[in-house]
Amino acid sequence: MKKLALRFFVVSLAILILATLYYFQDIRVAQGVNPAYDNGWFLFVLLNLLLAFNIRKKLIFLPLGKVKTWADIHYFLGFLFIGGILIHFNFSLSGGLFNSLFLLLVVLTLVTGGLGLYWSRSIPKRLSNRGEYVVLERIPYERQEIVNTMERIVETSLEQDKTIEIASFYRDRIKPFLLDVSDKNDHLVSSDKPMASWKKQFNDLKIQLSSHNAGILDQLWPYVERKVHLDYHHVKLTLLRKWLFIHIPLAYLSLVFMLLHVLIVFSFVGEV
Amino acid sequence: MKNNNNNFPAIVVQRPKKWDVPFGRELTDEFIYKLLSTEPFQQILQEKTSNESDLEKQKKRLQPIINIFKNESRVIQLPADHPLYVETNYGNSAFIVLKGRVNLYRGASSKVSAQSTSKKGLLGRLVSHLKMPRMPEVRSIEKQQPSVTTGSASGVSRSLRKYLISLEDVERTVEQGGIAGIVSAMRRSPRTFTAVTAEDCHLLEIKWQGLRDLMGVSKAFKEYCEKFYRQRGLQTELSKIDVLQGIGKASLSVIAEKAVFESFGKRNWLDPGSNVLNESVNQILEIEPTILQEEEYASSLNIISNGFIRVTKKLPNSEVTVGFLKPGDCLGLYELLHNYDDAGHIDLQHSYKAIGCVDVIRIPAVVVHEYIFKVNKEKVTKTLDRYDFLTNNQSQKLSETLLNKNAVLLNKLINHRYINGTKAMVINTEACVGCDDCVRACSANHDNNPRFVRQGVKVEKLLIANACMHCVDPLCLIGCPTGAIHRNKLGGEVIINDDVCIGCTTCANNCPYENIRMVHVFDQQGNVMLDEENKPICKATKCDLCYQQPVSPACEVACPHGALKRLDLQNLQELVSWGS
Repeated sequence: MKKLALRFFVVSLAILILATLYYFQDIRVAQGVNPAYDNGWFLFVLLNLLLAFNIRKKLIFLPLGKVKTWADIHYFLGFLFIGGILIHFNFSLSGGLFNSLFLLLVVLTLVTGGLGLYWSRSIPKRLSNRGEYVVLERIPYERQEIVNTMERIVETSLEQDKTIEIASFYRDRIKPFLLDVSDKNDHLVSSDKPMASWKKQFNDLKIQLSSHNAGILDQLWPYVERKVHLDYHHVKLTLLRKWLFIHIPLAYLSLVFMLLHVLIVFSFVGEV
Repeated sequence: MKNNNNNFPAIVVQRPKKWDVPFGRELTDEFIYKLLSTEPFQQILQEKTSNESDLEKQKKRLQPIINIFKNESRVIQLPADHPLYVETNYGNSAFIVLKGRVNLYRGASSKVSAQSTSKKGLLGRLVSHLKMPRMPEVRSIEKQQPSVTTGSASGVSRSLRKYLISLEDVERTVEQGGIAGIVSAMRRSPRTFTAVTAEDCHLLEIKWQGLRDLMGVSKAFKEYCEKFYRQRGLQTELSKIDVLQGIGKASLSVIAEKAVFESFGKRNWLDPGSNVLNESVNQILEIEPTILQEEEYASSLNIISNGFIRVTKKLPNSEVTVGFLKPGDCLGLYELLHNYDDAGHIDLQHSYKAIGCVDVIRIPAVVVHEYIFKVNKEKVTKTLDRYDFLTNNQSQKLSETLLNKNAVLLNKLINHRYINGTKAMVINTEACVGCDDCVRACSANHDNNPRFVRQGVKVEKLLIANACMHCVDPLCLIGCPTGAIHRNKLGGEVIINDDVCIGCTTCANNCPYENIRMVHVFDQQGNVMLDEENKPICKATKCDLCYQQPVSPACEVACPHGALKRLDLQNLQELVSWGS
């Protein structure tokens, strides 16, 4: 309830600020001043505040409040920025190639930011429901552990039963799958296909095996299941880290373009 | 500098040893012998001389004791009205009054929070951040060499000192030959008094490790300390128990006299043979010693002095855990009170089992009736609210617990002994994106090497990470030969003095939760430090809750998703509400 009230307050505040900015334009026009200067500077300050979040994260020893609070403010300012840019460009694309490029950069920054926010909120929940919590850097070690354990099981099965069905299946199908991250695209869209495919392969083989070998196959299954989960975690955790490598450079590039935009605008009105 | 067999650059330094860094200026043999002839150490001398005919033999046998005094104690001289220690601060040492008097006061604890802490200033932090070497775990070579610790009893600011000397109601005075602060030093618990010198004083300050070692070599001294604890410490401890507050000093001393002190379970409950954390719940329940059995006659009131107790209830086919009790809590109170009220007799409603090692103060029912219920019944009735899961409507509460999804969490916390943690690192896995900002923040504050590992035991969506939990009863402290690992006086955080750590791994082996890691250390140039035998120099490292940093704990502050929090795991409610 408290959270809901806070969200309502924040959204109301954002609408209020943007409405003020919008209607302030008329007043400035009546005063004979181009309102784009006001909301332009407003956007400039906003962009710098948005970029300050990344710097704050690096200077953790400064007593400037929790990063979580900064993140919440960052999201709020991000939404304000969307509204602000629409107002600044008068809800239309105009002003030639430079401005279009600048706007494209800003839109890309906002889109990557929005996607990042969505992924940050949705992916951890999905990860929590699929397999155990794992640190990205540990995944290769976990994978190796699976390889070692499965090979031990297969070797034991070969010693006990001289048939080669399980060993062949392991060598031809499972081993290549274990050595690296597989089915990246499927995991990216949270598809159940990889798991279903392995389940089918196991079931198809099982009906051809003796009861002893079927038992061995059952022993192998949890490890394949774990590997599918590890791949899923790897893809999703990588996504959660990599999006920032696009979002942050785009944000800095936007700042550069914004500075150039300011320079150009003031050059044309003769103030620089 | 040299290259070792593995071809990585290395530098040879002297391996740090116990007592490389004495506590203070070294005491002379003559002074120590003189000390041994006075209270309370004369027992040691008497004990040792009883069967010894020649002086040389006696000297040889006293040598370990002399070494303890030389390295674990120091003489300090303080003027009148100088604070020695403050109530609620953690005690790491005891003080023997060699000359003068020390007054003990109560009630200064509220002022303690006003004390200046040892946190680094912003500028200091900025400078050390800029100066920080790129290599992890860099140590100064000079720091590895022995040096003498100097200084006097500290830990109190000037303003607090002014306040302390204005205290008037002296609770007790420690005269020449007496000991101050021994109970909290022995138990590594907060001070129960504030001690201020009444006149110019000469004091012998002994670290708790010194006391431990002295008790180890001298049975007589051990008996003296235990007797002292019984006379003074027990009474002080009892006076802090809520059901005993307001019953008067005379009654309290009778209770202390009649009380029986009992211990249950093994001190080293996680020795390699026990393997208790891997057992099933039923096996754990069988292993844990029963303190009181359900349906037995409630013949005494039992107060937990140290450790944790599991409360279980019998069901037709099993035994379930319904909660746990912690130091200061009472067992059998509800039943005793019920029987006192003549509302019909009831036996114990639950079983109580020792989780790890538990010390219990047992007060006979007749004494409870006479000295507690008769004078303090109303207050006692009120305190029963704290034990709601043990009281009258227990069957309803029990079913709630069993049906409640938190039962899994409760069981896991108790079975893995996580209830010991006061500042455990809990990660909400449904909010954690694995960005490693917490790891980087920790690393930036601690020699470029994080003091925790982002993995651990997962209970539903909560992960209790491998970071020091700053336990109520830190097992890691017990065996440290040098006292390097200790409690911070002010906040009680368990911290390691890197300069004194000899890398013996005792603390790391003692930590049941594997939250202490041994690291190799490097010099400024990135050379690994080796001893004369080509073995790497190690240091114990662990989370210190960033107690010296302006922002603490950095891991919690740095999390951009609010997915990490340091929580007291005894507070199940807080844990559940944060995780939901």
